[in-house]
Amino acid sequence: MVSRRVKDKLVHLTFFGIAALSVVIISFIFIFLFIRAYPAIDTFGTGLLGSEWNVSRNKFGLLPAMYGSVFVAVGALAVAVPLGLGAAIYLSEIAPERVRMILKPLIELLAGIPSIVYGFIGAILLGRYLYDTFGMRGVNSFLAAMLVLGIMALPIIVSMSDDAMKAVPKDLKDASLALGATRWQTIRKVTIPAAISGITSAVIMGMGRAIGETMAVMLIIGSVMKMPVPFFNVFDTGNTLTALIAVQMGESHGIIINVLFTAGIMLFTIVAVMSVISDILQTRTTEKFEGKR
Amino acid sequence: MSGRKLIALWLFVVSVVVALMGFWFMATRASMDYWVMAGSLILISITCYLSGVHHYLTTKNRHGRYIILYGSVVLMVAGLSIYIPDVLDLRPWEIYTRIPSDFFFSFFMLIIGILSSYVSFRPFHNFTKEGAQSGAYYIIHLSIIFTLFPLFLIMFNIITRGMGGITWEFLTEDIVSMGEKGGVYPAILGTLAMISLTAIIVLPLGVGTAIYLAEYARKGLAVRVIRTAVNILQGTPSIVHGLFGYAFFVLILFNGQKCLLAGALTLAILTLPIVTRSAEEALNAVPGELRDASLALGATKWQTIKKVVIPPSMPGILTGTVLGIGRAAGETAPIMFTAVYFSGTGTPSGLLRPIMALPYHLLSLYRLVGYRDVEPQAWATALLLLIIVLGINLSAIIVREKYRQRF
Amino acid sequence: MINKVLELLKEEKACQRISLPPGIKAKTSGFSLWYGSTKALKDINIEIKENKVTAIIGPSGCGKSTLLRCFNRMNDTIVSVRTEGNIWLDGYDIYDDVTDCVDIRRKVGMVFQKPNPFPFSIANNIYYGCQVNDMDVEKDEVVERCLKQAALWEEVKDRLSENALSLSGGQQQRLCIARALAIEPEVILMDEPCSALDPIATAKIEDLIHELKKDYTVVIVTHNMQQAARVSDYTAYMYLGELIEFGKTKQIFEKPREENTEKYITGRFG
Repeated sequence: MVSRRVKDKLVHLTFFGIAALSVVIISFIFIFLFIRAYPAIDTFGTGLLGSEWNVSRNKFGLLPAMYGSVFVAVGALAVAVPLGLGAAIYLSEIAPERVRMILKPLIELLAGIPSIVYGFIGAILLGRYLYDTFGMRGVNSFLAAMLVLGIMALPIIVSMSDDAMKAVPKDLKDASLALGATRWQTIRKVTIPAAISGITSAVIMGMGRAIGETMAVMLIIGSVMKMPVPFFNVFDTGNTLTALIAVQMGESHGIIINVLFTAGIMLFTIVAVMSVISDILQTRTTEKFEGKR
Repeated sequence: MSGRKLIALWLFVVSVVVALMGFWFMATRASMDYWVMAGSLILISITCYLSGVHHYLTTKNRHGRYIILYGSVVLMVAGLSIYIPDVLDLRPWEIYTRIPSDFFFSFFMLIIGILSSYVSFRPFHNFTKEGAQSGAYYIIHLSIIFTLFPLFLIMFNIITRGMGGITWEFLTEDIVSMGEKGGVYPAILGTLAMISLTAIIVLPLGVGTAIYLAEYARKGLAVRVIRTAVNILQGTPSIVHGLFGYAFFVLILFNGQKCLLAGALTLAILTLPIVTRSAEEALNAVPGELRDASLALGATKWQTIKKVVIPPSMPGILTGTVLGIGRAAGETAPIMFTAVYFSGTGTPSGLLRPIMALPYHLLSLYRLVGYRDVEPQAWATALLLLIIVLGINLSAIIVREKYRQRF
Repeated sequence: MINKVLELLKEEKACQRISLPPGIKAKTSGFSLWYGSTKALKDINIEIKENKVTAIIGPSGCGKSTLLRCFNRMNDTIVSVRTEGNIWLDGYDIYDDVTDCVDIRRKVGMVFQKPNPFPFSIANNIYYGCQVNDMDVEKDEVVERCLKQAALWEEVKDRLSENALSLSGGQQQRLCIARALAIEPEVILMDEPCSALDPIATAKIEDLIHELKKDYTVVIVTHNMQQAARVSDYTAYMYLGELIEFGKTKQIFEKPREENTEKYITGRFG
């Protein structure tokens, strides 16, 4: 019979083990992606960063996909940030409690729609609409991808910014109101500046989501491995890292698979760095108002 | 009501009507005459002048000068638009796009309509800071409407277009000729099997991690590292999970065999941070005094957690798990390389056998759109997927709102 | 990592012990405590007499609650706490590395500032301590005995299965006292037990403390000097983490030896 005390310590150890599993998983992801990516890195070296992708000439430059990922994400943020901030201000500062109780879950539902459904709708409805309106070559375009990703990034931006603004102590807002400021002046000059690192962290997470989004982009970006011409042309087709992997994995073999794993490492690294930055910013907000814990 | 307010109100009403008209023309791509647009804009700008001049005449102060400036800009847009060609062809600049003038006209109507309705709040409140507030609130209300608009648009389209395709046969029959005929029964079963397995794997791991972080962890490097790992895991793109699942589970653990278990393990990793986060939140919501009271009675830490902390946080923990499962049910990228085969795999026949899943079936159908007559089936599949995922999420949210515990 | 595992699994050696003079239940010697780099308790020496009520008084932030929580090592739950010196309970050093705080807490019950009943039924609140300590007792008996001792039996005997949160604040606090009695402690620590209560509920708790000292040793922290004078036999006065004066309550309140004490007691402070 183990004593109660020893049992308690064993329990502690068990939970530590379970918690440490996340660290193990992260390391495994990196290690196993790297093992699969290594042959490509070994063969092509910096050629992987080039702009030419041509299977028959054995050129595998990932630059167009990297550029595409960033381009699409920036466009998506241009749609999502203004709308998302407005909606977050409404939810946290203006909406009556009852409206908030309904809208917040609704926005969470928006986040719950599977990305393949977004992609399907985006391609069939939005793609066709844009095609008819702008007379492009086909239904796929950066513009469609930006709009769809913008809508997909909205919930995360709204909900994280809402949390950040809700975390600003009420006393602070009351103090501003008591000095004769209107509620809007208080929001603009007290709440938003106080919550700015949380809001930034929301925007970064939204960007990470947009860069990492796969299925929706894959169906509407066109998956053509080239840069848009000219580089800011939202009506052109292109590719992103995610779409490249998703489309090519099923159809390729040999060294191309290794190249795709290299793309996966790039994606993982970019998004991991963004998560860490966002996390640091968020901790800063919490510490500002709750003191160090 | 004073003349100033009347003019402002008139400006607001006209602008909103113009914006709605612009929106309507844009949505329907109706062809429109230059003069419809120019006429609306001129009406707006005249109202702006009227408002500015009236303000000057009644108060003799110059706050109204911005609205006169704004009116002039609107007038300029209306005037310059006459130079927009019938079709703006960008092909000479190597951009394969031809934008009809109708688009520009309706776009201007929409944008200027919104801007003018915003501007109208200033004169209505006599150019005070209340005017700035009302204007800002107006824009904020618009943004929440625009945020929710796509939700309704998506729901509306999927429901109206998918409704007809959902029949008893569709739900219970095998997939025939790549989905063109028959139903989606194997895909439904596959998805259900996979998410149940995922839930069984992720629940102990996620809750265990949360208990460690919320109850045992003290400040230190180990905790910092674990937290960062959970955050990175949360942000990791689903396609990366898919790659990892393929490289580790499929190639190393299961000898290159795509299978149900590999997919469930991959999805478990994907949902782990979601479950951990919400479980930790639920545990943290239990007040520290209860823990103190239990410890002071001679309970060990584990007894305290088991009997005092976990029971009231159970609804929160379950909500988090269910939300994670909802996410898993709709994911395609992680299972593409780990669990599903292109069509025709039949109902799930074992942990180590491949399966079919709804989201992947939707993808296969989409790839056939245009080649075969599968669009109705695709819409029905999308609706079914949406019902399952949103049903799961909705039940989680309802549980959370209902049992939200206050101490 | 492996070292950590081994260390965690190591069974404890016997605890170092001394013999305390008769009539002394507990005693601190040269006890100091730091929160991070802040020294919150400075070299405290105090003796707690058996079956007496000892009150600890002093202005806010003087460390009286911290000192109280040292007697059952509740400060262990706070990160970055470091201690020096010893506290002896029945001759055992409770701050010895090998002492298990779970055992101490069984001997030393505690009542907190804010009533904190578990969100269980009234009966289960009382029985909880017996359950976690594997005590071989009849649930109904324990519940009745403790509720009677806490003078709550008459008020709640018909609703034992109701949620404890449905009781009033004063009843909740008496339930917390009853709950502490269930594990048959020898010492009861009370951390400002009446600060969240109205005067009538306070009077009931004070009567209860009088009853309790027949069987238990009671240490009570209070910011209310009248209360200390009413309920305690001994009083300790603390100021900025130091124990300024300790003696019989009558002497402290009538003829304090220290000027600082006198200032505080007569309300001429600061």
